[in-house]
Amino acid sequence: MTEHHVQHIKDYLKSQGFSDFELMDDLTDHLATEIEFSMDSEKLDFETSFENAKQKLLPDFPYQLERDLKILTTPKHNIMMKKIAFIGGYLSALCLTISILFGVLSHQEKTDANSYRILVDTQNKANLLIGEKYDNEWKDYLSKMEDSQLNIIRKSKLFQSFLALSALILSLTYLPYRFYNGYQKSQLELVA
Amino acid sequence: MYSRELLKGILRPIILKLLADNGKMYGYEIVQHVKASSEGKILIKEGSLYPSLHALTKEGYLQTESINVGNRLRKYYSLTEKGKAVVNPAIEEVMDFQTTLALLFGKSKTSVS
Repeated sequence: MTEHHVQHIKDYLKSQGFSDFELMDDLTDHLATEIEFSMDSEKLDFETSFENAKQKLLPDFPYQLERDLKILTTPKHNIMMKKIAFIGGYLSALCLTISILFGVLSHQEKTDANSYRILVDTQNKANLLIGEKYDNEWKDYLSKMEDSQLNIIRKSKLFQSFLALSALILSLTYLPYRFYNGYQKSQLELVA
Repeated sequence: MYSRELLKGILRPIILKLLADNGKMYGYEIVQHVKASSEGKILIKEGSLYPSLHALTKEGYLQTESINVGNRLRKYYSLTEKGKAVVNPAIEEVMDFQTTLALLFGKSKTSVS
């Protein structure tokens, strides 16, 4: 088998998504041995022997082989790290959603408070004009405006707390996993 | 030919036993050896063999030696000391399992009145 033939097999494996060089060496030798056997015993050319070998030896989705290998050889602590990362990612997204919800509610409350403020001001001006004392309606508006302002403060605090919690969970669980994954990929590229 | 599911559990003992008997072997050789020894009844698929070989290597039961053959690398697998120590227990477990299966399936059917 020529160097060109071997390279052809390796290129095929790469095109199928293989990136584990140890596994690629094994499969290249396995396919090459089968091809050599077929070329010798059946007197077929390389291309035909290669096609036959692919159909005979590799599964329908060859990359499945590398996936199976990853599952079998992934240490338990890596699986645990992955679980923590995904649960952390989910919790962070949940906190972010709740924080956005409180942000929207706080904004809504601001609109309500502004409306009550306008009503209180209008009532004030009207009362000054006609010289009447503050009635129950005015007191009601004033109390609602105060309640709204208190709600704005409470919801803004919740918005900030959940936003901070979301960022904290993301930075402690999901981000380290993503960086570690990226580091491993870059190490593989260096070996390539 | 036995199903892949059936062979999954006994692939490791098969690999360990073969390497204990033959010293060092490469992947293609293991497949052909098992096929010939079992009279074609056990066909190990590459999709099962290599993940198992790599997992056994990573766990320290096997070691590899790469040799250049015809413009490519051929990896020979052999047992480590740790691997040699688990060969007999692995075989005994399979044989014990075989006996248990015989107890389950080997009895003749009881008559139903």
